[in-house]
Amino acid sequence: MMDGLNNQAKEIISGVFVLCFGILLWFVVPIFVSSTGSETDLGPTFFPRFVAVGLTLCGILLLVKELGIWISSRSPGGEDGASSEEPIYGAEEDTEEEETESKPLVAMSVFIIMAIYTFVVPFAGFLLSTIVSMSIIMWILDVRKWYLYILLILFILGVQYVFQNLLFVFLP
Amino acid sequence: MLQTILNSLAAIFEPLNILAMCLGVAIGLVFGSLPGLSATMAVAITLPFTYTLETSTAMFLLLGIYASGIYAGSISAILISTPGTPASAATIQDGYALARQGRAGEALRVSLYASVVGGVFSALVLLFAAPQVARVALNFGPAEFFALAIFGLAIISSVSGDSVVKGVVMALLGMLVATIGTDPMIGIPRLTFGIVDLQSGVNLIPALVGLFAIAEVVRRAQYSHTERTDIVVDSEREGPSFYRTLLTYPRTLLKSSAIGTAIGSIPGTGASISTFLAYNEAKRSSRNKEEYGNGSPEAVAAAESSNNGTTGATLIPTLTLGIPGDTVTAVLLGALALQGISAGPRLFIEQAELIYTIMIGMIIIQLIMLLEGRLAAPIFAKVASIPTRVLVPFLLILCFVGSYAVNNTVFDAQLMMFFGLVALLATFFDFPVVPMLLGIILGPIAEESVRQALISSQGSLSVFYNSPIAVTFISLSIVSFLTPIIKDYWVRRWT
Repeated sequence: MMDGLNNQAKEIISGVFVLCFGILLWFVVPIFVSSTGSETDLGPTFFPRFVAVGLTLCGILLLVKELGIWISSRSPGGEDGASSEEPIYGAEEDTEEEETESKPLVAMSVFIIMAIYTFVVPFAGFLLSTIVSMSIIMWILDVRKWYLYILLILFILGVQYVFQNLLFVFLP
Repeated sequence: MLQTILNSLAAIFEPLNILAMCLGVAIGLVFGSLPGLSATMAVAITLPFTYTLETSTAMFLLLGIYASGIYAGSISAILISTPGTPASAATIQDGYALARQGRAGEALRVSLYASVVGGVFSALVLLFAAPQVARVALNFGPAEFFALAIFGLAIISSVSGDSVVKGVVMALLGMLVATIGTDPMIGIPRLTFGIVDLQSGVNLIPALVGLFAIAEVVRRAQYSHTERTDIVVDSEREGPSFYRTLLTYPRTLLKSSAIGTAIGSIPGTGASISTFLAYNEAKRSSRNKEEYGNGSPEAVAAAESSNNGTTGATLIPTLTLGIPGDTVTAVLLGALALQGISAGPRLFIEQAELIYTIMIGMIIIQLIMLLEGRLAAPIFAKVASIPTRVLVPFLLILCFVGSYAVNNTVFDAQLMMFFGLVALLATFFDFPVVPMLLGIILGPIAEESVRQALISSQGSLSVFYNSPIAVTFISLSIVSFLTPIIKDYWVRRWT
């Protein structure tokens, strides 16, 4: 769980990003929408620009809210900037982890290996690239039992067989 | 009508459909039993494999996962004091206390029977209420559909996290993603950045798998070293029969099922909310209040009948209005879209047989869950002890092949990773992910209807405020958007 200061920094970064993205989107949309030259105001740029306006307004609201919290935290008896409202939906998922130490580096490594895998698989082929990358992920996750690696390879072979021979989907 | 129902019954009992239900229930039981793996993830991972199936078969497979996934969260809640799904969080206290007293079998059985009662109750309400809602919604034109889409996005944004503005941001980003591809009215490429694979738009499956499966698997990976594997109780001891459970807690079961169904029918809510409401209400009205929290089978019955009581009810707004009742039904909307079917009131006319097949099938799924849950409880109790870190590579492989198989292109797998990154960053900055999915699903409806409405009124906004239905939905959207902001302001002002 982030402390109050970090929380506020996160909120400000979020607000600035959303505001800038909204403004940028407004100007970028016409560049990336092909024009037939005969569109009205309700043409293909209408809805993306509607979204751009919405994002800009939301960015302003996020920053104004943080500014209000910052001002109230400076006033005598003000709060420290932490959000006072409890999340209603989906909050239960986080309670368990918040109490335990996390290893973000492990998660980042898993994500990066998986991302690299999606770029390597067209060249190295499904079988080889999947066995190598998933074994590395398993090792990073501290799995040391050899039979689980055998099980993983059998699973990969099974997936390839099912896709190619039963579902007729040819994996790369 | 009678003929439609008879045809639906015949379709339900086709061997392949029954097999799909059984398989779906089994998959849901496995995923639900494993702490950290949600029903949403199970449905998202399985979804790509339903592409080649008949619509009804695909829906039965996914609905089986949904219903049993919500129930099975109670297995790990009871046995290892860790909820398999957020919906089972209320079951922990009493379920685990019962297990510590050597009454795990009793807790597991009460949990299963209560879940079945809640599920059947909810499915019956779905069967009778959904056609009525659809009948009203049939009168909707473009203005009403736009207002409805905005209402759906507003309400889900307002209940999905701790900031309504952040929910709206994610919904808008989802709508932006939905605009990528060919313009639906003029047919020219839009925001494709010269990438050929984007010309047909962003495929829903990679987006879904990325947002809900990749992000969840990666998030779990960082806690893999802290997992508990200490199941301290045996799972199968003597417990009450189904009928005895019904006769012992009739009021609690009925009331909690009704609470679950009522909450579930409100878009964007779901089992996580209803289960705590039902638990509190059961405790308030119980003669044995002191047992609550110390191992009360009645408390387990209240929580579990309520969380499965949402499973049918969430399908009411999903099928009739195209607005999902919770996260899993948002993914189910994607499943329908994958089959080329748009949920909404016209579905009840154009695909009446399919809709009745799905709705009646929900009842059969509950009965299959009763059977499988009863017979296979010891196996799923063991499943609950499998550490997530062992499962991570297996799940990642399924995510990859699922995304790849939709269009036989690695680009979709890369897109999946992009959405996974978006979900991880969003979670880090406390932005809810669900509204983004809703934006992707409801974006095209909102865009087409607003453009149609404005073109028909020659750009005049009167088309919206001349329609009482549109005015009602837009007013409700404003209320649901402003209420948390005003509440937040008053809390800050007066505390």
